[in-house]
Amino acid sequence: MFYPTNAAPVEFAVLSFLLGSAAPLFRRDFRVSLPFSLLGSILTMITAFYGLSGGIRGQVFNGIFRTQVNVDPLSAFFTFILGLVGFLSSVYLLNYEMKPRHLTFAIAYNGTLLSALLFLTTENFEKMILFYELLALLTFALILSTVVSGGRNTARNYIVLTQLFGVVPLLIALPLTHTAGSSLGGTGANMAVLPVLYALLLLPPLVRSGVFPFHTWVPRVYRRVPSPVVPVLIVLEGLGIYMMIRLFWFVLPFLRPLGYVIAFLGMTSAFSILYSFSEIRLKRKFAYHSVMDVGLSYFALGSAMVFHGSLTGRILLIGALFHTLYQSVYKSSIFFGLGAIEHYGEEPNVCSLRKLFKGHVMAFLMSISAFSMAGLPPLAAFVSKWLIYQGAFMSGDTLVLMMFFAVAFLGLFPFASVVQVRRLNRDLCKRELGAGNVPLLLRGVVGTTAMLTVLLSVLPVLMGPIIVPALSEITGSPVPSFGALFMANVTASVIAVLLLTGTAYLGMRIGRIPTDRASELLLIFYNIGDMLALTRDFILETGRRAYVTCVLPVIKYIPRYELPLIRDCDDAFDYPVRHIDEAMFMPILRLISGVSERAGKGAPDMNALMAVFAVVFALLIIFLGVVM
Amino acid sequence: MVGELVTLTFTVPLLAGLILFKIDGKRADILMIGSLFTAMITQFALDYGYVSSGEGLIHVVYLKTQSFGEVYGIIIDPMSVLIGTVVAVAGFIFMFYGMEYMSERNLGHPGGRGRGLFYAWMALFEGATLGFVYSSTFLGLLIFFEVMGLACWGVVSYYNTREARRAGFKAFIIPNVGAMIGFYTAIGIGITQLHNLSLFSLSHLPPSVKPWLFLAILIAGYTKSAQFPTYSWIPDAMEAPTPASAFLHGAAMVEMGVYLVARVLQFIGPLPLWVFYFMAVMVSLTLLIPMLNYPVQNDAKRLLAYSTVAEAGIMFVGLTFASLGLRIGLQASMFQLTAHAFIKGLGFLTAGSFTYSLGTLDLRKISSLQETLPVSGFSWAVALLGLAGLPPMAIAFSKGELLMSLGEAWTHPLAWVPVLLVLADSVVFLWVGTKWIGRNVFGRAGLGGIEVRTHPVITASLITLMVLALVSAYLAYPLVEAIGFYGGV
Repeated sequence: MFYPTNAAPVEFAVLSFLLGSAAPLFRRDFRVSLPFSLLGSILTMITAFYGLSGGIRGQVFNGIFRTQVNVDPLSAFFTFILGLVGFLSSVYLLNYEMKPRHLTFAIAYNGTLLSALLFLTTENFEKMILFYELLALLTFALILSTVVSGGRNTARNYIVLTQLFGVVPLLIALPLTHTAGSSLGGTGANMAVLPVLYALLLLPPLVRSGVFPFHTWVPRVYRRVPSPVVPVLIVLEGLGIYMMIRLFWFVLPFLRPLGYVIAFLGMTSAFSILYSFSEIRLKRKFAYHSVMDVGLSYFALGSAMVFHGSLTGRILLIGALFHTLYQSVYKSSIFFGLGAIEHYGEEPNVCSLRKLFKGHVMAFLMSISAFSMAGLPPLAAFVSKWLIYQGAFMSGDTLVLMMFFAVAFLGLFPFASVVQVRRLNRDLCKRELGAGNVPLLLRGVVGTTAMLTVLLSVLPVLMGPIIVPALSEITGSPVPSFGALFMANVTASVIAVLLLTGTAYLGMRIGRIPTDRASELLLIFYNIGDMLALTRDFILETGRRAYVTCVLPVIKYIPRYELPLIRDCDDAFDYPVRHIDEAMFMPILRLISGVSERAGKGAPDMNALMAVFAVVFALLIIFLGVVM
Repeated sequence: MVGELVTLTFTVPLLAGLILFKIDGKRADILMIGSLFTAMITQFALDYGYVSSGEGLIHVVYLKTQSFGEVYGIIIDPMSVLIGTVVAVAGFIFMFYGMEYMSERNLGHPGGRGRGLFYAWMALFEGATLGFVYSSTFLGLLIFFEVMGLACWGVVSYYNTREARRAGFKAFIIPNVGAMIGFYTAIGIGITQLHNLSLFSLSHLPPSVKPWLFLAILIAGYTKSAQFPTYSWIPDAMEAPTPASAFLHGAAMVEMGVYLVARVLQFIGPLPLWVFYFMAVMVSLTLLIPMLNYPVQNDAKRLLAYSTVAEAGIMFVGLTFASLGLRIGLQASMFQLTAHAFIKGLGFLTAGSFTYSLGTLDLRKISSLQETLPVSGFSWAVALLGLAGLPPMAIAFSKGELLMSLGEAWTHPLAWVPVLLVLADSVVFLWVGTKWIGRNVFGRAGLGGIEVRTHPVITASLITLMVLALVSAYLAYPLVEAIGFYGGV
């Protein structure tokens, strides 16, 4: 199966993940698969380093599963994030208390990491679709393997959403791209089908990343799955960004209006922070944060597409990449911290933080990550937002600026949300019992990610070796120094920093306002959200009603007076089926039936009559064929 | 040598079927399974002989007359070898399972005495199907087509209830109407215009006659494959014992309608564009029907039956592209047929295990399979997810192959309609399938107090089919790639 090609690191990573999937066959404990997951993640990072240093080309598997891999700097950047978070998650899980379905979890966890690696490294569009599908399926299995009954509906909605808006558009796009060759490095498709291709290929990355209007799965799934699994899902959100860049920067010709659309969807996603503000269950709260963070990356990405080829475009693009990396790290740190609460059997909410971790090192580490997420100077989100805000100011484009002001306004709330947690924590919750000694690996992983967040934000130049080659590849030109990028336009840069500092200050003030008062002030936004939810429900309800009132009477014999009693499909099970073809051919069938009945009267057994008829029929044919 | 093996493959079950009408009990078990095992082993020997010979197409003429040219003969090519193998393997597994299903231990349909009659029809069914697969003339095809129809009537009306008799009658009469239109037109044209009944003579037809003959054959195929507007015999045919249903849906009747059209397309040569449009419209209408019906099915077998209408429709989508002369359409269709045989067989045999162990097919009454019948629960989930087109089940790859065939046909706008419907069908089936998986596999126990038991034969059959549902794409692909046209397209 494996060949000594240039793709050896990828092959060994694949092998490691496969062994990890199979390990619980010998001992029913998911932990026995984790050493393989760890090794696979390390090999994933090695793959990334090779990709950054000179690239990897080769193939893995054989026969119909043969997959050409090409690890260029862009792939390597995302592969590095995958390897890093996969490694940290695997270490964390070694000490984490949970009782999943062991074999299913091991297959799903290792399979997810494996599919993500192959998704990032394949150079073939068909295989990319296959790995996208496997990712959807294995994350579905990952959710199912860890959740109890209430979460199965969440899993079901997730898989149907990813199939309907992720896989189906890709499968429709596949034959269209075939008209111009399947290579992702190709020159693009026939011009006549381009508008359709843009529309089709826009949806799957949005679904993968949980961007509006496909953000609904994010808070539901994050709430249900164990916290240490969430960082892996956060990295997969980044895969949507990778897909977007790969398809729209490398395969299809640039389309400026599409940039506006992407930026608008990103901006709209950022509104989810308002829901985070009103949420006290921490996993949902930070899930909404995650939607906002991804939205911000998409806003930057869309704007970069609008200004493709210019310095502004490059600054926005590097801002998007920075933000993707940062949010993967600080959000992982936060969810690892929440995992420590779950480790003690508590639901992570505002009070459980105080209950378990008051004065604990975990509280300190989680605070660092939360401040990084909130964009407090000079922590992580501050750095990436600096670039994005600067780029937006430099654009001078009315539409981009309008969207930017909305994003900047929403930037008040991440810190407000953190301050609110601390306020509620202090005012409402009591410290009942301490967590005692949080297991070493849990502490170690939370500490590592928190420190990494600080280190990477204070010294962004550390990310140079992984981010600069990716950016050079995307833009096709050398990247200026970081100093030049952050101060590309002094005025815009100063305004960005002032704005970020100001929003942090105002966020702190808003966070101190009692929640119900703040909610009243934000009522208009919640109303808009409610209207969108109502619209979605209206569409679903209309479809359901249309099915019940228009389709059911056609396919089932339902008396008209009983129709109003039927609310959904389950109510219609016991009505007899109406076959459309029988209805069409009823006159002929009645004739045949009449003839058979008459024949039946003369014959003792209808079945015997049919058998004799068939045999005579066959003999007649043989006679016609041979004798005549 | 391979010619003799082909003859042996289909004559052994046919002869065993005739004998089985007269015997019952253990002896019937042994004769039936022995004949099907022999057919399978012979088929494997044939596969080996054919592949190692390296020949593309082997044509053996059994009977030739002055006036009608070739009357009986066989064709051994990648397509017939592939489908013959599917029929022989699936038939053996289904009836291996069937021996236990037809026993008195079956809770829903306690069997025992009288099963020899069922075996007789099933052995005839398999023999006729294999004979059909290898036939090289319209007369041969017609005879085996009719024997299949007769066997279908026999198995569907086997339980001899009012519903079973009605369903059996319907399952016999509808494909027969198609046969009358399709085969008699073909034989009539063969006799009057070509003076040859061989499929090879089809390419010599005048262009003005070709599409009409093809249309007549298409009607025969549609009736056999339960396509619009004659689809309803297949959900009604659920009255048959489950192993027969699995064979009907997975490897025989329905698939043979597709195979017939594919065979004719291989030989008939170029067809006018309007044939493509006609097929695209018909298959689109077909695909709408199951989509509308999935949500209101609570009977496991009926749910699977509607999915068969859709899956056969998907095979016809491939043939629709093949009518444009696209080889990949033909290949995708046969690939889909192969992958579908095992996943649909898995679905039906799992449904049969519900009858056997729980005594019901009503999905509302089945729950917590993961605890009571874990293998059946797992196989039910695999079957439903596979039928929805999710990897790593083989059928996902066959559907992928089909979608690629559109790449060369995108210039015809109508080509999109069936493909979009194929995808929509998958999504609706996934929605319904995940709902039932949630309730049946993970749902809370609803059959409290009932002692649930199964049998190693049933478990072994389900596990074997699960493995085949996973690996059949890999095994079949070399033969699929070798399938092509012979009619100068």
